Amino acid sequence: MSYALAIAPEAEQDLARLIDSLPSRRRGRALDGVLAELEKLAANPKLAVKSTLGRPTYRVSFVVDRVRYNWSAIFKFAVDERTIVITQLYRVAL
Amino acid sequence: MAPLSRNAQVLRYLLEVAPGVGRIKLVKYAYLADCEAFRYLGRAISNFRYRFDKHGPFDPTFFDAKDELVRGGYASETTTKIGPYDGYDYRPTDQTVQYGFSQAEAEILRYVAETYLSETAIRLCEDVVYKTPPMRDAKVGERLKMDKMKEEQDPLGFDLERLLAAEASVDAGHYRSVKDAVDELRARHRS
Repeated sequence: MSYALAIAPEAEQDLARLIDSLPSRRRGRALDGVLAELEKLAANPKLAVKSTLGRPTYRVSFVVDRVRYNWSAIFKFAVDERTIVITQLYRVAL
Repeated sequence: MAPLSRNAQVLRYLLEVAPGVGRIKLVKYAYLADCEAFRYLGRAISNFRYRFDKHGPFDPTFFDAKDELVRGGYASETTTKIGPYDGYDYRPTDQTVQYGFSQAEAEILRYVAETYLSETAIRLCEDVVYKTPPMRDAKVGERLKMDKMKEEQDPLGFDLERLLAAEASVDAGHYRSVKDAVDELRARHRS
């Protein structure tokens, strides 16, 4: 079963800040990459691991212009139990 | 009645989540919570100053905090036998405590006590505590360098307080579809 995919306002700001940090020519494709990764998560939330103080965390990894970006998404299930809500998106130190 | 010291509050909070633990686990929980707090908040929760003692991280003022709880009726102390050794078991009483923790600090304390509740004291030390960065290169007797837990702060990195705010938003029903949010961002970057 695939879950609906939603985002909290604070995580929307995270995403905006992450996208703004990229060179302008990469931003559109980075958004495609993030969306594609989050859709994979919505299709199979078991791909996430329990880290970050016990929260399910999913590695959002995508390539733009041969540069790989490694971000992470933390999420929780909404009360309807059919929606995954992203609660934080952040850059991962490698 | 005088308010509980910060360290006594930490121990009592941990006991509420993990009642019945002994001294070794209680100290290690406090240490691990301080490690996590350094990692996520850049500071400790307690005022303990840990040294590498023969049983791992320890601060003798633990006894002051523990005695404060027991004398004040905030926790019970029961003698137990662990093989040939005397042990102690601590439990919170019904006496209420006004905690002075931020939401993020309380979250870290709860997480640590819940996560390691089922570990034995030996496994907790060997598998977790001795592998924490402040313990890795330390020698017995040395003061532990807790700031080894601090990661370089990345303004685009993980932020516990923001996460808790986002979770509160979700609980209040404040969220929208990712696609709508992405479409809006796309439009903003196109213009």
